Amino acid sequence: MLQDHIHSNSMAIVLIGDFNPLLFQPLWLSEKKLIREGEAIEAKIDAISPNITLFKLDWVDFNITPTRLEMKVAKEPFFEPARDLLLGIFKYLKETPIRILGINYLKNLSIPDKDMYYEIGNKLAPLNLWSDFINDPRLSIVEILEKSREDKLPGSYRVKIFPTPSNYNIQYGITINITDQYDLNEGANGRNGEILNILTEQWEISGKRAKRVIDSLLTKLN
Amino acid sequence: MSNTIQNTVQSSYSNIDDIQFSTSDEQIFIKSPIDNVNDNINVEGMSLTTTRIYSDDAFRNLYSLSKSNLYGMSYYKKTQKWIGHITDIYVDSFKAKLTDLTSPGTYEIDEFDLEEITDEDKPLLSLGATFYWSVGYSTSENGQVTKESLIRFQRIVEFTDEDNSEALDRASHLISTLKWE
Repeated sequence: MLQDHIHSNSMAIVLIGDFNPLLFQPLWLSEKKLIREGEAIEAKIDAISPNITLFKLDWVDFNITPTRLEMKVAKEPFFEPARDLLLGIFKYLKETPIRILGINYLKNLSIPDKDMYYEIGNKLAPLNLWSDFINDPRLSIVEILEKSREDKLPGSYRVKIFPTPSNYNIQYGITINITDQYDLNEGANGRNGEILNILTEQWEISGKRAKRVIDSLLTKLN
Repeated sequence: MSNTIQNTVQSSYSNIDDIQFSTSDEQIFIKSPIDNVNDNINVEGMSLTTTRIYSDDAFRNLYSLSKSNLYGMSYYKKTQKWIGHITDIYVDSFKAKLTDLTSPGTYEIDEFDLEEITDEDKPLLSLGATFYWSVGYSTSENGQVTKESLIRFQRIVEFTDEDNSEALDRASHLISTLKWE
C-alpha cells in the first residue's frame, strides 16, 4: 500500500501582495517576541535588500520580494507555529496589501523499487499512449487544476505530482504537492486583513481537504 | 568557492546570461530568463540544489545554488501533534489538556516536566497558555535519526489598551503636523 511508503511532509505558505523586504529581519521578529531571541541570533541570513530578503531559521526559510512572501517549513511540528508567525507579523504590519494566499502541502513518498515507481507514473498518465513515437516514455510532472473551487471561494486548487527533489536523498521518490489558493473577493483591496482572516478560518479546513485528497489519490494508485 | 565548483556551474549553465559567485562558500546566484534551470548538479561529492527566487529587478529569475549536505535535508517522520492548554502548574511540572491535531476530536490530560520547556519559552508558561507538542522521528542532515518530543509555546500578538492608545496618540500627532495645501 502506498500509504505505507510515506517519507515526510513539508509545507510552504505564500502571500502575494506589496511588501518591503527590508522590514523582514530575524532580529525584528525576536524584538516583537514572534520568535525566540536565540533563533534570531543563529539565523542564517543570505540577503537583506530592498529587492529581496532571504534568511533561514532552524525551522523555517523566508524568501521575500516586493511582491511575494514565502515561508517554507520542512519539519511537520512547525506547521502551526509558522502560521502563527505569519499572522503575528501582519498584526504589526496591518496596512500591508495582501491579495493572494497559497497554502502548499508537500507529501513525499519513498517507493521501494523502480517497477512500482514506473507503474505509478503509468497509472497517472498511460505511457503506452506515447510509446509509438517516444522512446521509453516516463512521466515527469502531472498537474491537475480545480479552476473553480469546490467551496465556491475565489481561488483555485492544484495537485502536482513530480519526482522528489534530490536533496531528500530518496532513490525512487514521488512528491505530491497541493496548492490551496485563496484570492480576494471582488471589490476587496487586501488592506483590511482579508487574506489573513482566510488563513485563520480556513487553516483546519484546508488541512483536512489536503489529507482527504492525498488519501484518495494514494488509494486509487494502489 | 573552489575553481572546480565554479567551472562545473559554468559548464552546467552555459546558456545562462549571468552567473555570480559570492565570496562565501555557500552561495551562487544565477540570473536567467529561463523558467526551469537544471536543479541538480553534483560536484566534489556534494549536491548543489537550486532555489528559485523571484525578483522584480532587471532580470526575471534569480536562482540561488547552495551546497546541500551529502545526506540531504532534515525532516520529520511519523509525527503526531497535539495542541495543549495549561491547566495546572507545579514546582517541577505542569498539566495540560491536549487536543490531538492528528486525529481531531479527541483530548486527554497529561503532565510534563518543566525541563522539557526550552529556556526561552519558560516566560510564556502560565495558566491557560497554549503550546504545541509533537512526537516523531527527526532525521538530521547527516542522516542521524532521533526519536523526539518537542514542545513549543504559541506566540501570538495581543495588543494591549496601552499599545492601542499609543498608536492613536502617534496618529493624532501625525495628523496635527500635516500641512494641507
